[in-house]
Amino acid sequence: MPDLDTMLQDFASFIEEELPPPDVETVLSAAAMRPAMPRRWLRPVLVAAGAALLVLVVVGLPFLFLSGDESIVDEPSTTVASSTTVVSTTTVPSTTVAPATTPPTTVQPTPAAPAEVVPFPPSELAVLEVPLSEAIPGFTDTIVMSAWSTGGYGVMRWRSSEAMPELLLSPERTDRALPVGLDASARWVAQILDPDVLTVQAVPTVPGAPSRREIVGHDVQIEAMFQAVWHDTEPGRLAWLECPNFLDGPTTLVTLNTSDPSAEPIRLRTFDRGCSGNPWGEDESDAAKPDVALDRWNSTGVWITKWAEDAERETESVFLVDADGTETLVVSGARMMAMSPDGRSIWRAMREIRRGELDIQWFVLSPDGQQRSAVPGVADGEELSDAWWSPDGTRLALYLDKNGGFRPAELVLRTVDSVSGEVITELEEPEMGGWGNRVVWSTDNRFFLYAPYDGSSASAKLVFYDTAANTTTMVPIAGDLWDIRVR
Amino acid sequence: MPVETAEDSFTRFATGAAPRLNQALISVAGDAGRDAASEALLYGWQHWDRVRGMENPVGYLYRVGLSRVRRSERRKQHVVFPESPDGELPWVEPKLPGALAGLSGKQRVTVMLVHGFGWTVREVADLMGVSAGTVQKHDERAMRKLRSSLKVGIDA
Repeated sequence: MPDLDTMLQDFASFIEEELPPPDVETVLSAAAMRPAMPRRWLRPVLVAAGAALLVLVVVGLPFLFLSGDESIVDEPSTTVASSTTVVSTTTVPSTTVAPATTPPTTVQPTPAAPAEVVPFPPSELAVLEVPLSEAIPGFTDTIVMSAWSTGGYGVMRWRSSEAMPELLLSPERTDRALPVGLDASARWVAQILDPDVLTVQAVPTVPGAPSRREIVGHDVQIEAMFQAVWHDTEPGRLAWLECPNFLDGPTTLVTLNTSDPSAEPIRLRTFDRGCSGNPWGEDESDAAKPDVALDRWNSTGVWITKWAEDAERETESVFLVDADGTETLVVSGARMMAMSPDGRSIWRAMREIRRGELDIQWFVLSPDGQQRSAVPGVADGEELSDAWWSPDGTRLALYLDKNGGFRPAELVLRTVDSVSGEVITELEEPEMGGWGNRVVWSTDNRFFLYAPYDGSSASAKLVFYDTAANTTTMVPIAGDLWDIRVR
Repeated sequence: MPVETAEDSFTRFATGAAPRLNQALISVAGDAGRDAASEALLYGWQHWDRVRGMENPVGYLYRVGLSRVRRSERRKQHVVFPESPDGELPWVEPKLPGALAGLSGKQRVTVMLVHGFGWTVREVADLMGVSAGTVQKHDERAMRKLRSSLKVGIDA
């Protein structure tokens, strides 16, 4: 085997060949086709200005010059998909003149348009020749999932009696949309549309227009909302982290019952830590500053992970924030991977035993946090990668390497009794189709659904693992699943 | 002597900057980095009067590119690199893309630029807007993680 440097050089050459640098001519051509996008708060102003301009142009003002509005333009956008379409006061320079000093050559005001909502054709996602329950004998749940396809982003419901999913909702899209996904009841879907706009929409289960609620809008002094999670079991309850600015400063944990229109956001706790890891912001420059991440929200409270970094190592610590906003350290040096309905949790601890060699250990923590025990169903020498509890808590699905992480890997998906560790089923790698992603158990604790990830790209399929028969059925999916719920 | 137009000066800048910007962004974001590099250059041209006067325009556009990656609607949990066809050159260690995907973005861009593309630590520090010591720290950790996950030794 070549050394690591050679591997990296080979890989760098390969990806640069596959992904060559952009051609400058093409960039300039694209610029000519696409004007820069103003800040959100300026869009209504520019729309109004555009309307005024239109009037002026119509009445015959022939020599109209707008000063280049570079000073008010912050960032371009890949698509114009806002509730108020930008007046195209072209800020892009012509091919021979400076951008900041030359008046635009054309003024093309366009009327305000509604937000772009691209219908998601469910037929693009998946179509079976028979109802789902026939393709997957014994499967009786209704699946609600959100996904992208070429047409857009949508929320689909797939009843087991149907051969294809039906579209429930095509949420508003922008080029900045970051889905939060479906809540526990699969009746609400949330998106972060901009760094500062969090929306929640009801997923209609009856005909009629869905209600859309802007939970936090751009009139609020929040620069970034970088993470949000739904409550594990309570419908409509959303928690998120707010940053007062991109780079540093405190982070505030906020919760809201979105299903109650009269409910107000509860600012549960403020952490004196920066917002690095923020997908909307920039890289933090101070490597010593710890991160904060929102893991999950369940009946025990909101689970937060913080990273502290010193010259030697990075340590992650998990805290629980209760309903009063009180923060309690649960475990240091480990990360929670899964939690059972009765509060048993599975953790992964990583420790560097010598330079370049990591010791990874897994353990189960009792609901009171006092007792640690081995993960049931994992033998000595096996290396666990991931774990998922069944809805009734009696079973565990384990994704592990029987060869302990050494070559050649012997990856298996194993289901075990969550108390005794007795192996119930085991599936070897070829049948798995790839790493389990977007995993969910069926409500009857029999099927295990996942979108396999093969290590390089999301595979276009949904796998139904029937643990009663120890067989898998793969349903081709044309879209890109974001999350899956069953009911 | 003809006066250099804005387009001329941008073209001169972008011709030199595009490969480095692309290397940095495909290192950190894989497939999505290529589009981000285009977007960053586009932004650079649309704001050329401001960007041209910056002390470190490539570093600035790198941050613009990063924000594009993070804001991408198609953002995924995993960074996706191009797939190497089986049996065809160049040979790519099959586990390397997955191991790189397991690093933090800062670790990945550091290790790829320094060891893959041959940048100096100083150049990476300038790009990221951090000290050379911070880059070295990212590099050490990234290389340790890669050696551990790929089961290769320092002299292997």
